[in-house]
Amino acid sequence: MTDRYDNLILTPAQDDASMPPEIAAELERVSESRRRFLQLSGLGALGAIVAGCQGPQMTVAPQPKRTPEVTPGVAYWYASTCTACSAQCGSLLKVRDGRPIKAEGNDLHPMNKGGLCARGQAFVLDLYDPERAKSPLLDGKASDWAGLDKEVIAALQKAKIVRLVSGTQSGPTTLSVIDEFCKKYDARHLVHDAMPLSAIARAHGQTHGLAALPRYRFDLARVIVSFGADFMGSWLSPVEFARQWAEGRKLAEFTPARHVQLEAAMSLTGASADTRLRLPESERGVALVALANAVARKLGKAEPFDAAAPKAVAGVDLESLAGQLAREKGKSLVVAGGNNLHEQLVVNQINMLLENYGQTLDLAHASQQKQGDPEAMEKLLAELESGAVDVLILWGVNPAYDHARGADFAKAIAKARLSVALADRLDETASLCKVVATDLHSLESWNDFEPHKGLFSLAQPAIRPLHGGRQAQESLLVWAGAPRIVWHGNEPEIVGKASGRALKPYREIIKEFWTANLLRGESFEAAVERGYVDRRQAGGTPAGRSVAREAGTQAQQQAGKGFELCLYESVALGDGRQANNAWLQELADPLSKVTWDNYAALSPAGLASLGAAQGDVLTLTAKVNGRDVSLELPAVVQPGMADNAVAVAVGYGRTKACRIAKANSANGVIGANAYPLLAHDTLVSVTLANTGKKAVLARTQEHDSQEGRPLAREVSLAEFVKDPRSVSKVDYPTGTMWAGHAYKGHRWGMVIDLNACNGCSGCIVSCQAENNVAVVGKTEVATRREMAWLRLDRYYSDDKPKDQGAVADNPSVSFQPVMCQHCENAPCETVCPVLATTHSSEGLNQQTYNRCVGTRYCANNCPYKVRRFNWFNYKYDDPSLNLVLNPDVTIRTRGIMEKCSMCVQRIREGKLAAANDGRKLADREIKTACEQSCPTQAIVFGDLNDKSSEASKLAASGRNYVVLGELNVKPAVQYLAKVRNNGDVPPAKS
Amino acid sequence: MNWRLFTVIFLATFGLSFSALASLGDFHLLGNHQDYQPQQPIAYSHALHAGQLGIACEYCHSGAGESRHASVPSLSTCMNCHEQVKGSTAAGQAEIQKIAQMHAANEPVRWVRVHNLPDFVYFNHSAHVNKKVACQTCHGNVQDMAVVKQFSDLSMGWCVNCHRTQNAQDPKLNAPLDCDACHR
Repeated sequence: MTDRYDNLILTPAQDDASMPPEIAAELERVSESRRRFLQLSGLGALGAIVAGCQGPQMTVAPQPKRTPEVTPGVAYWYASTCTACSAQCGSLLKVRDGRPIKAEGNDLHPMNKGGLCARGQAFVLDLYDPERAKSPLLDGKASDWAGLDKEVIAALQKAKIVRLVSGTQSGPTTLSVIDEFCKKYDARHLVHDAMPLSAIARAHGQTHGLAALPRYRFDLARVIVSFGADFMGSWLSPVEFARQWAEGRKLAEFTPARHVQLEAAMSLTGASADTRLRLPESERGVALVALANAVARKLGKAEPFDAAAPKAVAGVDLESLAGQLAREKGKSLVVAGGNNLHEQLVVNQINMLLENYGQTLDLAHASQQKQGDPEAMEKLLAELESGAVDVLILWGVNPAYDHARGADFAKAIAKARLSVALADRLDETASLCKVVATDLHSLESWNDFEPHKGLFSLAQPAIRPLHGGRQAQESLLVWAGAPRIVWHGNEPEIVGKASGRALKPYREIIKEFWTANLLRGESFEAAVERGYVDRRQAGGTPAGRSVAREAGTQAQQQAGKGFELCLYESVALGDGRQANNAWLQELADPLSKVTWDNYAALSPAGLASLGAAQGDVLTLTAKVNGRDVSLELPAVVQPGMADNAVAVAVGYGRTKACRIAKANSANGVIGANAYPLLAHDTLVSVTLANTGKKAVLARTQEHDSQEGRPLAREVSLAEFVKDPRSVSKVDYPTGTMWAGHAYKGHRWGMVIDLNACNGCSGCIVSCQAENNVAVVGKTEVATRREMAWLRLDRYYSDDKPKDQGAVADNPSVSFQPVMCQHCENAPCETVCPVLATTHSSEGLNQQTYNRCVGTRYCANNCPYKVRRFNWFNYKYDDPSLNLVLNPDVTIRTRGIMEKCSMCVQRIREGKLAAANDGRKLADREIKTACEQSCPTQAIVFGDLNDKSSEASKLAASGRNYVVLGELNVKPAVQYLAKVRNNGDVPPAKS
Repeated sequence: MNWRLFTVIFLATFGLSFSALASLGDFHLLGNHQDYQPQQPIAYSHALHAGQLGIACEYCHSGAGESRHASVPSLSTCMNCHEQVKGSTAAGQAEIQKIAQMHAANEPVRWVRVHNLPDFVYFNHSAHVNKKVACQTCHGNVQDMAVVKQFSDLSMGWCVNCHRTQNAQDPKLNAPLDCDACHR
């Protein structure tokens, strides 16, 4: 039989007819029944399975012993103080289920009045940072507090030279703790700020006998002249100053303040100035002296300084500027950036001539927001290097990273007999210290502050400590001999010699101090609820002494060669302490729109002179105070810079406690550390060279021109005075073929005042925090897949005719926040095949995530390009960061389109609160996240059906317009044109 | 391939298993958990507490009028009474002892969740409670249930239908029918 089957290889050519018929039939029958059996049993099983499907069991596990004041699902708000930078703005923390998920500005606080910047908004994410230290550490190994305290106290008792370095600390209770510690061990306390403003304090010490920074009042100034001080970006107290600046620009009486900025690099503040002039760093002193002399002349006084250079500075009409200042004597303000003592003395002289002290400069309530002393830090470094220091305590500072001689610091820390870090993570400095007495995060701590003399604010914890940290002040008190509690389960044990004081947690110590010194009969709880205590009284600013002529001569001595360096703190990262914060790394710089990187910004001419283009990697070499420094940075074109200036942001190049760098950089480090280039009082000249390498810049905006379209509109003050309604006149047809929507109840709309928006991007991070907007990472941003619902468009414009291709030397900069415009005739609504996007009965364009199938036709059709698609499941890489998510907003997964919802969860919450209370909704009761956070109150949300609402009034103000109105989509979002006070305008009517 | 036989066998298998499961009282389309009545770790009877003893719903489910969650009560609420009331039957005493022990040990009771909505749905109890919607409207006569059962199907159609009919009856009610009221 075998030979008959041997040839039974079925090829296509062979058909069953060639097989012996009885074998073919047998084969057929057998395979048929086998096949059928398998098919039928498979189908039967499938039928049974489908019929039996059901979901998994879910569990509800309520707290066994309920916290009586807390109802699950209700948000509780705690007043606190933000410590993302040293400005100490008042904040409110929204706590859900025992953890803070959102920060907002405290609207009652007199400093920031409800505004909060990008870094303050992102601060809540740092709390859940998985890189926080989980326990105290001794020699790099987890330790317990008892062992650690024993070691530290033993070292302190033997020590002769003890140094305590902290960041700016202003709170009276904190200072009393530092005092107690220092007295006990004869220790010296130093303050370290990465970017100090000590020269301003020293200058005032010389002129007014008070070595402090004044409290600035930009809102009382009719003319503001800033020589490179980025007072709305990162200088001293940006949120406070931005609000003051915006208040001064009110247009009601057609007399807004005038703001002139003279700077070498393009800053956020400069971009919003009425007049911005390019002034190289090396000429700042010269210009200041010339201005001082010009102002004196206009006021009929003797010139205070000898001008080494000709009176005029190229391109700057100082005479006219002096005239404007002199006309507003007592109502003007001159400030200067940098940290040069002589320049600051000249600034003081100008302000004294203009009689601004006691008006726009207030020394009675001096600012305590920056107390860093670079000279003291230099002395400390010398002491450390000589091996003289026995115990070094570093509290909340990172000099191994953010000091100009950070590398020297890093080596010198080991020379201290005992180095102690009071830090909440193993950053560059803490990882070198023998002892890490893990500190709590600010949001877990009790603290007090005094940002201005007489204005006190509190911070209270919003969550129990997540990890095994201990409040730094408690550590200091324990080491100073206070008794402390050690918990054994639920049983406390009091350890340490009784020092005559009762054992207390730090909260009690603050309460006692405040009750004794500040509260004047008010309860501590009431002060905590409000967040601050204002004890400022009208006070005199001391009379000033004229500045020596010599100061003017010294101020003019800065000589530059090659490129002049401008080091600055970026809006996103500041001094770099939040470098591990993904929200901030992904926040596009308002001017360059670069994310996840720092760079060397140069003017187009400057870059061309190097034969380089944007994205080319440059080497920067400089000799800074005798040290050779070299860095590599990608080049970015920044129109408006002085041609010999190069601007670099500090805060990048972190090597420790920056785990997000691994997935978002070429070599595991985001950007380059520019701190070695910091020379506080001298100009640094750098040499730049093109390496020929190319870097990928992840930018969110690559087109800089409005192409002649009226997108971010601007009018000059003269035009505005002539016809206040000129902006709102439309020249396009407004008829429509659509029937429209009937809004019987509310009709939500928004008005954004471009005259107030300064591009700070606080709104973007606020939106991200509120709406669970994902972080996509550098590669995705570079692929143009950014996720921020709100983008800040930045345009350059000039008066040159369109056909002249090259960018102007000093273009005008405009910002425009753009989010979903919630169009009446929304192009996205008509093209969704599954009706995932529809129009609500209150005027919003609503996106229903569970219906969306990811066609992306809506994004294609949107003329404003405000829709964002989830190309992947953008999860946080560490699940502990999920604690920051807002439970009231759905998490979107891969394949879903999302966009600004006008914070519908806040709208519904507001309406519900009013309905539950049985009252009508008040105007401005509902605030969108972006609106709430804006330091200048540029965004106003409201009911357009209510003619008395602020949004309705602004929408009819005459300065209002819509973007791309000719498309007839009828957006619910309107903009108010910016008014630049840059022409010749008559003096203010006062 | 005998298509007729194929169809018959397939439908028979499917139909038999379908009706078998349906007759067990445990069958619904995917996502619909009406009549779900799982066994709970503690044999708590609403029929006794809410029915016989007349305890108000919001005494235990105190979040209903203030928050989006009505919330399942904590053991401390149980111990308000059961600190003293130790039970009259052996079964009752055993259950009360269980909760007393868990309360002392600070251990939560892991109740099996009966009413659940998908993550993309936002439902707010306080909005309904403050408009005087009775608990029984959606949850059925819980005061008669020894073991809690899901009375309504909690589907979107069921919610929207009620909003529509109530709006028709009371024009001032304004129960939302916008997508973004629940899908945000």
